[in-house]
Amino acid sequence: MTDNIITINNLCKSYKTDSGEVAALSEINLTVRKGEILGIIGSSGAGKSTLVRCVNLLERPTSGQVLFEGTDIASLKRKELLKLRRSIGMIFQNFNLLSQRNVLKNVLFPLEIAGTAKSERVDTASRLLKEVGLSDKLKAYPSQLSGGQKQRVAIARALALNPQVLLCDEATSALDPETTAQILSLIKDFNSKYGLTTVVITHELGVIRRICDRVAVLDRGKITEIGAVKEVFTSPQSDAAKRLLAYEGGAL
Amino acid sequence: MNAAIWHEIGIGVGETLYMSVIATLLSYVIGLPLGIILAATDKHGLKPNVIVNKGLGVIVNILRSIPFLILFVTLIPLTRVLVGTTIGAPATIVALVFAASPFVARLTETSFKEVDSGVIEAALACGASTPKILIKVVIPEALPSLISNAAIAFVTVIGYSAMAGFCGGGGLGAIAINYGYYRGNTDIMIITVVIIVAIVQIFQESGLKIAKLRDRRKKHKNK
Repeated sequence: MTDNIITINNLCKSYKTDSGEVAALSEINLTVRKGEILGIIGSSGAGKSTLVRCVNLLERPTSGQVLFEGTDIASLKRKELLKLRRSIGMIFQNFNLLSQRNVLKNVLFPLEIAGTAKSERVDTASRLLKEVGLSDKLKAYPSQLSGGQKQRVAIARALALNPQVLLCDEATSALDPETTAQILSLIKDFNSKYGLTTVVITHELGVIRRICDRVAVLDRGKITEIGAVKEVFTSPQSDAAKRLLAYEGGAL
Repeated sequence: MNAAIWHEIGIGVGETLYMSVIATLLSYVIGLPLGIILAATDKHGLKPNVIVNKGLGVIVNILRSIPFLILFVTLIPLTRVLVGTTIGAPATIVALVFAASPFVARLTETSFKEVDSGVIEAALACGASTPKILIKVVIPEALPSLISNAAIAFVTVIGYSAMAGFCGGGGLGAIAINYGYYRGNTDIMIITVVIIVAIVQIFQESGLKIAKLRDRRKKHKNK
């Protein structure tokens, strides 16, 4: 076996709209290596969110393959798919916490779903909430938390089932720069401490620069470039990558 | 106004509450699953299904369009089979359930559709099955809205039950019509109407209050 945990082969995704088929992703080939933080950058509408949702089949690819540890996930039965999803944690731009559950119970949610023994649940959830620095907020409700705190809860929830991969869909896009930095270093910590493979979707170069090992540039549904962050940032080959970097230069 | 009348009114209050509570509960037994099906089979729902959604939608719309008194009279043969009588509280309950169930279906559908789709997506990403998402996400997240809508449903049922007084249904509506309207006793009419208004007020307000207390989205004061 290779050290690739996720392999995407010739993935295409198109949507039927009133004005015909619209291709959101075309001919995507991508691998995610075990233990790395892979960034996928692109402007809005590039298809980043669709791509990351194909990894846990929240979106069904129109054609092509997604292999998770060598298994074609499209071939999984419903039950197996639910199990697979439990080994892929996910966090979102809008946190998506259960508003009627307190912090502890939000983190208990995936453990309840997976049927973890009752005695273990609270231990696991409390340990994770301690790791994300929220031990004093167990009984608080999401509406009482700041954006950064909400994302910490979401991270604890995503990691509750000890997943092999963490998917971050614009996880810091709703946060201010300081909070963004804190959340990113938290993600980085989990990556280095537990070797947690992480896929980060973002439109911010800073996010890629700060925590990613490799970066893929997505432009209008196609990957135009992929490589080590340093290489791509110092000598971008594709127009899309040059454009992204030029905007940042302009802003400085 | 004598003691006998007050006694009648007392019984009327009991009957109105009895009919309305039972009818509302039964309407939820039927309407809540329908509301779940309507919301789930919607284009953006958990299990989109145009045929089921449109088919059920039409049935619900038709039942909701029939004026209550017409429904009451039309149902008489069925009512006789179901409860063995066509007058009084039991007969009224049958008509109330028919009238309120589709209404409850729409109310609960609306509550379920208010649930943030992002939260459902997060639950899917956790590997939750559809039934688990319904029980652990959709219903609890919609609960405050479901409670305040239940108050609306109950108040509507009380209104219908009063109307049923015209065709031999029991309760305060029957007293207002028989003693107040037909015998021209304005006092009794006013008293019964005031009592109905009070009941409506109490249930509507407490429904809203409970919903608000249950809703964790509001900022809590740190105690």
